[in-house]
This record gives sequence, structure tokens and C-alpha cells, in this order.
Amino acid sequence: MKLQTKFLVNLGLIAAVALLVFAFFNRQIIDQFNEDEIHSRLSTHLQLSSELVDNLLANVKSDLDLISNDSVITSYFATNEISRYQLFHSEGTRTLKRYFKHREFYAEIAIVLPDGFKDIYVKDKAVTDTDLDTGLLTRAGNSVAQSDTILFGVELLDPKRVLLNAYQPIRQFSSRLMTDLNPLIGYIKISVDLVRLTNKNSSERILSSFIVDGQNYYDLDTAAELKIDLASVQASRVNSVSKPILDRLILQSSLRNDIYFDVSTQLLQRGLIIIILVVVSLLSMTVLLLRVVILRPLAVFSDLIAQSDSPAVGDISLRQYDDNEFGKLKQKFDGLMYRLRESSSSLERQAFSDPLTGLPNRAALYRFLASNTGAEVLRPLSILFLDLDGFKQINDMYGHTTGDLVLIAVGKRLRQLVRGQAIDDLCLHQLDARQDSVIRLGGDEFTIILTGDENAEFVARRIVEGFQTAINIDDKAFYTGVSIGISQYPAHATSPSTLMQYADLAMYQAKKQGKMRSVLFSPELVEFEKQRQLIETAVREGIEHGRFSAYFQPKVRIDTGAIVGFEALARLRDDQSALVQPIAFIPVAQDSGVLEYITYAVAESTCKLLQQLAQPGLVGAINISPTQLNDLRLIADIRTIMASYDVVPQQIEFEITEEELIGNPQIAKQNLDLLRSFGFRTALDDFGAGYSSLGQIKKYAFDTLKLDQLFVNTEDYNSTAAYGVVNSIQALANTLGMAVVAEGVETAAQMDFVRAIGIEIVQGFYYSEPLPLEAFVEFYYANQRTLKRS
Amino acid sequence: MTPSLWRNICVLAAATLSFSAGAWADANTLRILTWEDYFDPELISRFEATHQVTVQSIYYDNDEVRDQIMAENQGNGFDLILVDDIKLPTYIDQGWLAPIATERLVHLAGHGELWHQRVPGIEGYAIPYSWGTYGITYRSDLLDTAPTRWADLFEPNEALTGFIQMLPQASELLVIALLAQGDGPNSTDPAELAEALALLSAQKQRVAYYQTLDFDDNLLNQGLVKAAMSYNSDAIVLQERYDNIEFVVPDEGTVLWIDYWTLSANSTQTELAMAFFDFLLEPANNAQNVRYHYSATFSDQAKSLLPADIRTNEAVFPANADRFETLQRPSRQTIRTMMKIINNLDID
Repeated sequence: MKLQTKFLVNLGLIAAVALLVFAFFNRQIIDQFNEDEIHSRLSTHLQLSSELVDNLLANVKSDLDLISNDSVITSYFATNEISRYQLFHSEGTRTLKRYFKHREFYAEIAIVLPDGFKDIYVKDKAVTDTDLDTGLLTRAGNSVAQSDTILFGVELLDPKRVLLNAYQPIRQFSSRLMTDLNPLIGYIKISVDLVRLTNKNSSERILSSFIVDGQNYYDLDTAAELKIDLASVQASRVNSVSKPILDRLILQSSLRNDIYFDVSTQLLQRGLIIIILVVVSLLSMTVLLLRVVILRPLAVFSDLIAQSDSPAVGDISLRQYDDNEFGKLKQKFDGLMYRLRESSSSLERQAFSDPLTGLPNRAALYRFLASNTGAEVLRPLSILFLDLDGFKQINDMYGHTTGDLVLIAVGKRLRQLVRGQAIDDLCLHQLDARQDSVIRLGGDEFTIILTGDENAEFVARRIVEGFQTAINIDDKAFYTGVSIGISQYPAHATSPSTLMQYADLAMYQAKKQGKMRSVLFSPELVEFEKQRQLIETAVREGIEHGRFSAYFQPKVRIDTGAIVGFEALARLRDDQSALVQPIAFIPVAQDSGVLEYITYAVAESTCKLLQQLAQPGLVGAINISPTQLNDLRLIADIRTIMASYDVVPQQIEFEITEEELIGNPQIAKQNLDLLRSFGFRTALDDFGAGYSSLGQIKKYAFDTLKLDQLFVNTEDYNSTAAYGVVNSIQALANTLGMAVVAEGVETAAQMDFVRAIGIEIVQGFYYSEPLPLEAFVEFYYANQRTLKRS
Repeated sequence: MTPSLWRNICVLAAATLSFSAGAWADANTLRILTWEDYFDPELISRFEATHQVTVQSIYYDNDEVRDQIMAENQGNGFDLILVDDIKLPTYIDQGWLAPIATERLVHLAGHGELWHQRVPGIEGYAIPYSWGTYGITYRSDLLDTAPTRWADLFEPNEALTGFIQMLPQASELLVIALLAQGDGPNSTDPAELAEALALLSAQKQRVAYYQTLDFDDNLLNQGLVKAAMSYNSDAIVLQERYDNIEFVVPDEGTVLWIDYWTLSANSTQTELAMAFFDFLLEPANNAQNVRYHYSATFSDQAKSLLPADIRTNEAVFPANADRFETLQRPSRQTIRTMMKIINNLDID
């Protein structure tokens, strides 16, 4: 979770909880306050309205008293019933009206006779015009109180008209004698409109009502206006307080509490909204501050860390925080970055340098090439691919420790020769195109990068020459040469890998050409290489599909014409059945390490042929390479093959070329002696083509010396000089007890030449080309038959 | 001064006088209960001078005030009481009046028979004083169409609406309403009475004032009222004072009212009262009083003494007065209707 989000979420949660707690407690407080307020208001209201009602009742009593003592009324009652109508009715009415009009809540004032007849009345319009006083008629049922002599009763006219009737009994008038014994002659009645009174009593929020026998009376319009309905279930939302006014008359004040609670809820909600707005604003400001004070410096730090790869780390943007915690953090970070850079530099040094020589390594080379080559040419470069000649021998003879010392010395010498940087001063970042650089690729391979393309061959030559002097280690002199291949950018290629491949090819060519030299890459090398790869493919496929076979070329005694032996020659057909020349595939097979397979195949064919012909004197010759001579396992394997075909060692002759003898004459002699100790015959192949001297040959004690075909194939083979040379070889061989075989005899003239010298055995097209097994067998028997005939 | 306040003062004054009179009756004082401005003061002075007595007048401005005074002390403290034709029989029934030896009143014969034929049973308890009618007094200059019917007051045209004045007495209002709706003024038919009550109630919103014509601060003259139900005599007084005042007896007819002089049953001044009766019945004095209050007299002789402008004034002596009814004693139903009129019209 991002810092800002986490901050917001946490702070938001705290704010939310605080808000909830605030809302809860506030609600409690406000509710309690509302309860108190409602009760207080209701109590006050009830007190005031009860005072008003008390006052009104006092007025009623006093008016009843005044009216009953009014002169007109007393005259009225004093007069007989007939005359009082004619004399006093109107004036009585007027008298009652005077009282009536000054009392707001009076609904009626009447003089009611004991039988309930309303003799005179004044009333408001709402009271029905009736001659009979319904209030008095039912007063027993409606009686709510009787105080002194006044009767009180409640009369319900309709839901909107509820009257409190007060009856003052009038007894036979006598100003001097006023006792209860006087006969009742009527009542003064005053009706108070209770509903109108409740309307008057009701305030802006409080509904006043009267309760009689559990029945609530109030002004419906006012109640509707106040939205208070005491009759319905909604009454639960109404708070009421009440107080008895008369025995059965109760005054009540009611208040719709939800108005208060709604208002307080609304207030609370508004308060909450304001608080939420404030909290949100605070959160926003906090987040803003967080961004400015913390996140922005953090982002700067983040960028700083992201850019920390680059050598020049800019921290200007952090200066402004120097005086706070970020300043300290920055200092620590700077320290960390310094150490990191140091460590990183060391790592890089390790990654891009050769631990043994301290030279840049292959990774450094490729990094350099990657940034200095490409389609867009920066500047020409020359890549010198070096491979030490003979270093393997040093390693083999003196051990790796010495070998390593030699490699170090080689590195130093190379630097001197190319005037490169001193090892100690090497900085990989400085490995760039401005300097010639020496790189160790690994093993005994080095690469030198030269700026420009003019002097490459010159430098290469200087290097080759520079290694002609010995390398001295612990007072010992070591000699090692270099073969150098050169490729150039952009003349030869633009991609690093191709450049390296071309330099390698050229170096390989230098090796092929005899080592200790340099070869500048040319496109033909690519063609050669392609060819070589085709051959290599053919060899691999040949092994896989058994396309190798052996051909046999007979060796014939000149004097008898008898076949005394043959040379088994490996043959390879590619997938098109075209014949691949041994001179092409043998080196490839040797390089690819599959020469043994070919040798086995040839050896097996040879043994098969020897078994088939079953001539104990017949000798089959098999070519083995110089490395195979050292390979004891090969000899053992061939012996196994021989055993399976019942061939004895005396029938097998191994032909060895001269070059094997040059590298390590000592070992070669040991190996040759070993072969002979098994009973094998040995032959020196292609004698005369190499460097072998007649003196050297003596010590190897070959059974056969095979004269290189160049002795008979040259145009001037029968010159006097040639004759002398071959003759002396023949003489020497005879002296040393070696049979001599002339190779490459193709013509009768050549045959005459060879015969003239005294060579006994020849091999060549003059007699037969190399033949497949069956053809050879046929040829052999034909030869036998010819011999018998002759 | 509002009528009610005025009445209260009268009641108080009357009450005080009655009790004091009862305590020390003065043989040389004649106490009379009457309307104000209803007797020529010069005649009073002359009578006082002639008989060496004092005439003390107690005034009422409303018949019901008089009734109340009478009810309280049965006329005790008064010698002469001016009573209207409606209440006179009741007064007699109540025993508040003493019989009068009318045979001793020589001028009574000149007043004819009509005065006692109209109200049966009063002969011997009263002597006639004057009579009058009800009509409409109006401002001729403010009304394009002169009112001619009572109905014009109940269904007024636009000009008249809101400018009507009616008398404040329920009994009189009821009679006029009955006449306006074409019923007899003495109708006791509950339906007709209820109809009259409804008519009056409906009229209320078109009426500007319920009060008796007054002379000093006159509503008609001020233009606050354009037509008023009034006594004929009051109309004539106004005509004397102001211009553009006309009086008409409506086509539906009207009722006659008659005022009588009576002798209180408790009077101790019987002889002096008889002298006063004789004095006022005398045609010359009678005519002088008519000239004073413009109410008609039953005395042909007195009438002949009047100036022509009064004698021939239709307002004072309507030609068809014979056709006008007087009011009978109201039934119980009529009285209750009156009570309802008081309630509904809110008059007091």
C-alpha cells in the first residue's frame, strides 16, 4: 500500500471512529437535553394555561354571580311568567349579551328554566338554536364537578365543539331571604367553549387539550397545524403533561417531540457534515503537506536512487531539505551511495577484468564492441585475435602455475608491444576507442583492439616478432609464438560477434598456414569456412548414416607382380553420394574428434578383407594420425577388432606421417616401439614431403618407408638429381632394413624409373586405383590367377 | 354618547330617584318618566307656575329601559309614565298603573275613539298623547332612485348598499321585516317569523348602523348613511335642520305607534296628575306640543290649531293612516324571534 493511501486510510479510520463516537455521545446529550427541554416547556405551558383556565373559571363564577344578581334578571325572575316575556325578555337578552360580548371563550349565556327550557340565551353562531338546553338535560351524566352551588358539566356538540357548562341555580327571589330552601326557578348558564380555549392556549408548538373521562378534546385545526394527533398511534411521538382543573376535568399540554428530535437530528447531521467537511479538508491538507514535506523529498530520493547508476548523481534538489531530517537522511544516503559506488566499481572491475592478468576480459570486450560498433560508424577499429602457439606444451610440461605466470607475462608483453595502458592504471571505463587495448579472452587467447585500420598488420607483425624472444620466468626461458587473425570494422563486418568470428577465422587460417604469423581476414576465408562446415556436416552425417567405407589400393612387387599388401583408404560419400576427398575430411574429422570412428571403420574393413582373402603374408596398411599414435585405447580397440576377424598383428601396418615425429620425437619413438612390441608393422608415410631427415628416421626403426608420390609425380622425376636422391634413399633403406614402397606410380615410365632405382614395391594407379572390398577381392584373385599362369 | 351608556346612566338615575322618592315623597313635585325632548319645556314651566309645583322629568330613550325601571320598583317614585301602545296592556296587567278618572278630563272627548279602539282594554288606564309611524328617511341628493319600499332597504341597490341605518330595537326590526316580505306586521306564523329573521340576518352586512336617528351628529347629514329606517317625527326634525332630507312611508305600509300617558299605581299625586292630564289634553297645549315634537295628535281641534305646513304634512299626518295597523301584544314565538334577532344582529 502506498504511503499516502495508508496514511489516508488510517487517518480516515481514526476520523470515522472519532466521528461515530462524537455522533453517538452528542446524540445522547442532545436527546437528554431535548427531553428536559420538552418537559420544561410542557410544564411551563401547562402552568400558564392552567392559570388561564383558572382565571376563566373564576370569571365564570363571578359572572354567574353578577348575572344572577343583575336587576333585570332578578326582575325577570320576579315577574310572572307571562309578563316577564313581554316586559323583560328583550332587556334580559341585552343584559346577557353585555356579559357575553366581553368574554372571549363564552359560547353561550342562558337563562334555563328547571324543565330545561332556555328562556333567554345569547350565544355564538356555532351553538345550535334550540329551546331545550341539552347540557342541563344531561347534566347528571356530564357533571364534572359541583363547587358551591355551581354545577359543571361537559357537553360535546361535535368534535370541534366541546362546552364546559356552568349552571348557577336561581331560587325564588328574595333579597332578604336567600336559602337553599327557596324553590328553584331556573339556572343561569354559562357555556365555555373548551375547544376555542385550547386553541387559545395552544402555542406555536404545544397543543392544549382537555380530558374528560379519558376522552381528549382539542382544536382539530390547531392539532392538524401542529401535526399532533392525540387519538392515533402517533401519540407515541407526543409528550404530554396534565393537571386536573375540576374533579373530572383535566387540562393537558402536548408536544410533538419529534419536532425537537428532528431539529436536533438535523442539527446533528449538519454538524456532522460540517465536521466531515472539516475532517476531509484537514485530511486533504494533511495529504498535501505529506506530499510537500515527505512524499516530494521521497520522490526526489527515489529518483536519486533510480539515477544512482549514473556516475554523476545530482542531488541539488535535496539541498532545500538540508535543515531537516531529510538533510540527515541525505547525508547518510550520500555515504551509502559512496560505498555502494565503490563496491559497484569493484564488482564491475571483477566482472569486466581477468583476474589472472588484470586485463579486461571477454565481457569487457563485448561491452566495448557493443558501444563502439554498429551500422553508424564511429571510427574504424581493428580486432586482433591472438592464440598462443605451443602454450599447451608449456602447460603440460611445467604445470598450470607456470602456465599462468607465462600468461601474465604474455599480457605484459602484449601491452608493451601495443603501447597500451599500464595494468595498474586500468580503469574499465577508460576502455574505449581512444586507446589500444589488450584483452584476455580466456585460456591462451587474447584480443587486441586497435584504433584505426591502417597499422593492424604492422602491429600484428611486431607482435609476432616480439614473441620470438623468450619469456623468462624464474630464470627459465619459455618460448611461445602467436598466431594472429585480424578483422576490421567496418570494412569486414559491423556486428561484434561477426567481427570476432572473422578474426577467429583469420587466426585459424594463420594456424593452418604454419603458426607464428598473422592473417588479415578476407571474404574467401568465409568461403573456406563454409566449405569446412559442409565437410564437417558430411562427416557427422557420414558417421550417423554409415557413409564411411574403406577402399583398398594394392601394393605390388615389381619383380613378381604379386600383390603383397594394400593400403586401406577411408572414403566418404555425402548425402548426394558424391565422393569427399580424404584430404578434405580427415582434418575436419580430426578437429571434430571423430577420426577414431573412421579409423575403426577402416580397421574393421581391413580385417574383414584380410580374413576373406586369408593370405597370411598379405599386409593391410592403416593410416593413423599423430594424436592416435599416443592413444593406447585405439590400439586396444583395433586389437579387439582384429581378434574378431582372426587377423594377426603381423598383417597390420600402421602408416604414420612425418609430422608426428617432429612435435615430440621421444614420445613418438616410444609409441612406435610399443606398436612393434605387439607385433604390428610400422611405416613412415609420405617420406620426403616433410622435414624428416634420413638421420632421424634411423632411430624410429620403421618396417617400411613410403616414398612420397612427389618423387615420381614431378615432371623432372627422372632427372639426374632426382635419380640420385631417390637412389640414396633406397640405399639407406636397404642399409636400415626398411622396405621401400613407391607411391603414386601411374605410368609405365614412372614404373621404369622406379624399377631402375631398384625399388621393389610400388603402389599407384599403374596397377590399380583404390578399390572397394569386393572389387579388391576380385582384383586380388585375378592377380593370383595371372601369377599362376605366368 | 352611545345609546347603551346613555341608558345605563338613565337607569342609575332612575333607580336613585325612585328610592329617595319613596322615602320622602314631596307633595309639590310631579315626577314623570318620559322620552327626552318629548314635551315643550315652556308648557312644563307654565304648568309649574300655574299649579305651584315642580315637574321633575326622568327620561328614557328606549322602551325597554322604562320597562326595567318599572320592573324594579313597579313604578314606585313616579307619578306619570309615558307608555307605548305595545307595553301598555302588560303594564295594566302587572298592576303598575292606577285607573284614571277619565270622565273628569274634559278635553279627552276631543281626541276621538280611535286611540282606545286600536288597543283594546286600555280605556280608563291611559290618555292619548301622540301617534306616529315608521318610514324611510333618506338623502335625496345622494340617491338617484328614491327608496319607496321597505324591501329597498333589504335588497338595496349598489348606491345604497352599506349606507343603511336601521333602528336598534328588535321588535321594530321584526315588524318592518315582516312588512317588507309582504306579511302582516302582527304575524305569529313561525315560518313567516323565521323568514323575517333570515331577512334581517341577511341584511346585516349591508347595514352601516343600528341606531336611532340623532340630530346633532347626524349620520345622514354626514353622508355616512343614505337611507334610514326612522320614526316620522325624527325625520321632520331633521328636515327642519338639514337640506336634502326626505321621508317616505313605504309602499308596503307601516304600523302606527301610539304613546299614552299613564298614572303609576304607586303615585301619591293623583290630583296633580289629573291636572297635568287635563293641561296637556287641552287643544292649544296639545297643538303646541305637536309643534314641538312633530308627532301627530288624535285631537282634531288641536290639529286645526296647527299651522298648515304641519297639519298638511304627510309625514306627520299620513292620509292613509287608517289603513296602518298597530302592533298587538307579541306572542311568545315573536318574543323568541326578537331574542334571536338580538343574537344574530349583535345589537344591544
